[in-house]
Amino acid sequence: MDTNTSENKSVEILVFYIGKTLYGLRMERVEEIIGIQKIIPLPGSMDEILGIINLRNRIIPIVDSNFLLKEASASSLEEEEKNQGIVIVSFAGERVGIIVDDMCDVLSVHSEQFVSLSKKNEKNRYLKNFVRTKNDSGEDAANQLISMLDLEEMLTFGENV
Amino acid sequence: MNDFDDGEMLEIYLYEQTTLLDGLNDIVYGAEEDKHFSKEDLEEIFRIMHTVKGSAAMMEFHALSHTAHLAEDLFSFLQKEQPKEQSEEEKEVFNCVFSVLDYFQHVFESIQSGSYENQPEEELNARIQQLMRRLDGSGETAEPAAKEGNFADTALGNRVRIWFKDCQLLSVHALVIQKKLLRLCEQSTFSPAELEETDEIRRSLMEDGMLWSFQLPGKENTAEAIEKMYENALSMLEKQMYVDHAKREDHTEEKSSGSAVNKESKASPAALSSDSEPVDTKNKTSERSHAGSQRAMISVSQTKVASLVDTVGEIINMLSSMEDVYGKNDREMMGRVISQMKKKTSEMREMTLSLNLITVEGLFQKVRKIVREMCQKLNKEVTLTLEGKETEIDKNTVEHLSNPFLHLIRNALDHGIESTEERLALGKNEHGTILVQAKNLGREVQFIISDDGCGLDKDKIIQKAKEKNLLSRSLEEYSDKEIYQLIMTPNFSTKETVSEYSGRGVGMNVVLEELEKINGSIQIQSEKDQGTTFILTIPTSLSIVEGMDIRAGEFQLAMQSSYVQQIFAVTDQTPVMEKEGKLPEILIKKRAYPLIVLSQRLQAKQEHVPYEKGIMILVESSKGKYCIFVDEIIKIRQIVVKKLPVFLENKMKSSRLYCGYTVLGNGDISLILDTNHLF
Amino acid sequence: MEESILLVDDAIFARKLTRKTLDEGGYKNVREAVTAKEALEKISEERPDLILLDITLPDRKDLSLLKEILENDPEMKVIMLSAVGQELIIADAIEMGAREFVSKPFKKDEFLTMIRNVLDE
Repeated sequence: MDTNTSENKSVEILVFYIGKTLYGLRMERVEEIIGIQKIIPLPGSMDEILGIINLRNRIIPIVDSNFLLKEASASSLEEEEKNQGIVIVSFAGERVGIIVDDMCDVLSVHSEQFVSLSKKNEKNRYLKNFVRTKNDSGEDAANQLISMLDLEEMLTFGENV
Repeated sequence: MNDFDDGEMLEIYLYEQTTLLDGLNDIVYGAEEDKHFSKEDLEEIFRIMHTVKGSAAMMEFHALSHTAHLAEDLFSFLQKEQPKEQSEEEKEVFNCVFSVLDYFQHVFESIQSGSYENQPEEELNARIQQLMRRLDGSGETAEPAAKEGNFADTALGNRVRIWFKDCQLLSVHALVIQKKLLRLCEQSTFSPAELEETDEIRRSLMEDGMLWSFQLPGKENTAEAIEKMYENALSMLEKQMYVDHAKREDHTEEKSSGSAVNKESKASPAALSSDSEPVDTKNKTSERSHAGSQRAMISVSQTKVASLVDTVGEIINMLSSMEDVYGKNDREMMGRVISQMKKKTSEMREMTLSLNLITVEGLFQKVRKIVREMCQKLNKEVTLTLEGKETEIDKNTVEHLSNPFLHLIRNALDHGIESTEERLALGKNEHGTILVQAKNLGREVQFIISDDGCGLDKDKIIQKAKEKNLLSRSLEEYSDKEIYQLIMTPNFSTKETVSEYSGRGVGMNVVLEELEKINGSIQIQSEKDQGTTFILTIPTSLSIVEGMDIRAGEFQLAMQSSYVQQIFAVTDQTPVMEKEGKLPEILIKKRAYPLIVLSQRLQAKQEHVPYEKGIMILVESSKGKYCIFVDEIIKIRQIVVKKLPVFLENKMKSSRLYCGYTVLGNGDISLILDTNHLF
Repeated sequence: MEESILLVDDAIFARKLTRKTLDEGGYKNVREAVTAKEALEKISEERPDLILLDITLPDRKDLSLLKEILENDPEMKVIMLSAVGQELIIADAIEMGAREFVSKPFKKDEFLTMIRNVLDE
């Protein structure tokens, strides 16, 4: 899928909630989506690492996206609301999992719907840009803004860049 | 009747037969290199076919026995009247024999996985019989039997050619369509018939589409009914997401016997190509093998066994001298005997591990086979050089190495080596070369797969990497090696068509994944128009160490035993002394050792048990000896050490805590404590 | 769309997403099962027009559930839901009689079109 936005093509993105905010990721980085499962804690790891899971006998590190993005963690919501999942992405040839609090959809968006960040600051250091969603009759009355995650920034936290 | 139970009988049978098959492969490949069967070859092959026939009959694998019988007859005939060297007939004999070998391989695998059905291999049998008739001079090549379900497409005059959209898992989507068409019309045949997820099948489907031919049974075979079938099929195909378009190819002219033979030999490689991908089917069957027997037998060199017996003898001697020394209460002497014994047992361990080693010859055989077949199909000439076939590697490892290895070979042939015309135009030798080398580097084995083809297109890779945002640093900071390495990231080329991406085909990330499972690594070197070299480094044996599962607070971890000096419980002989501002210390025989309370080091929430209730482990490290206090030793066992992802290694707060991980029996993951760096 | 669909998947998350897609596609008669046992129970309670079957379930590895379903009812329409890297099993499932397969994460439109096609077969 051609993702060159200057060529007016459309791109698929995965949309989900972390805390109460809508985030998105380009589908080409998404390897798999799985339901939340037992996360084994990794003592001695940085706070942003929730732990690890065993996926088909391979170890996958799980990143605490709530913590990184400073969103209200799902554990503060009611039990019933816990529809958490893990989005497994490819990163530097390995697989890493990101906790998401609720799944939304896979959307096909047009290059015109991308909105750049005004300027990089503390609040949006892990975002690439935004996507403005079209008016969805029934669901969202107004335009929604989806914050597109910058995996390279997000997953190299704590390392000397 | 005898002492063996059925399971054991089957295991022994399979072991014997596959060893026979290996021998048979050797002879036939050897004959092929000489481009001729020698008299001894014919005799030996005849004998082997005879044995296979007999054993198969005993085990009631009648279909197999029947085919072996026909092959036996063929070779009995050939012994009396050998066809001229390099004649058409001899070529057909070779082709036939290779097909028989593939068939045997296929049958043994399906027996092993429990999925064998006694279905006669009609086509192959007919082919052998036909060959014999031909050699016998008893008439022209017969028309391929217009049997129902025959692959010869001259038999079924109703045809539709289906073209697919480029997509992932193309072959499986094609398979889905096959099934749908079968539901519409029972008497359907397809070409390609067998759909494996390989580059060749994929290319064949993309270039030539898939041919569906059908026939309506007797009474229903009216023009009207046939038209209706076309209509239904085409409208169904129209709705299919992965079908690009479908076209009728009504075929009413009768084919002459000459071209019928050509058609058949063209159709059958496609049909048999699936059988000749033993790697894929092998792993297929081993993945779904639940009912069948797991082959657990290996060949062991007698020399190795002899050394092992000697070593065990030495250990037994040491034990008895231990008893002596113990009686005399000579502690120093005992210390010496103990350290001697440690050395011997470690030697013994190495020896027993090496029993599980086999040579890479089996793998090389598969390489030869694939190269041969693909060269035929792709019409390329390639000189294959294999070096290091006696190199030894763990049996388990080589089983997991097969797939990615052969994938790289296929890629080299498919995308690496150019066509003869292209090569000549570039001033290259019209024969492409592929070099496969295996070398033992001590703890590791290194494989080199090198071709002198077109090489990887660096610019295209960079472009693709940019598109996919895979460059985390600026381009200048990337070495060539790192750029080539990018082709192995997942999704790198999954959505590209074969034609758009000049270079290796899809699936390189799968190669990397498979290699990582056996703790292997891969490096890529390439030069445009000169060729590409893959360097694979695999540890000789799976990293299995002696270790134990321990608990500290609420955490469960694993630990290697090799650095453990002593395990004991705290008593008043071994008091613990808290130190201000430093690590506490424990006194063992009047010497003080630093003490690390593991649960505290891991910042466990759960308080550790009182010292008297836990276990002290004295370990040796590069910085000296120290003690680790754990709450419990759960179990002592063998641990398969797997590497931690680099991502995690970068995410540790302080120094290295872990040196790997292991998967427990219950499926949980347990991290392995790095005792060398804890202190 | 009055057809009844049985969704068999042990991952809450994936189930929810699939459920939502089916709902948007107009399929209101959707039941769910989390284990193979539950799936078989629900099938015998009321025969579904279509089964969406996840490849990995907690109480049954491999394709034994698919096999059982098709042995009991060879005409049952089953679409397999697979994850990345399960190509070989998918081919086996199709050989066994599953009608189609879809890789998670799937594209909504394609998913719905495929369901419609299979139901119309």
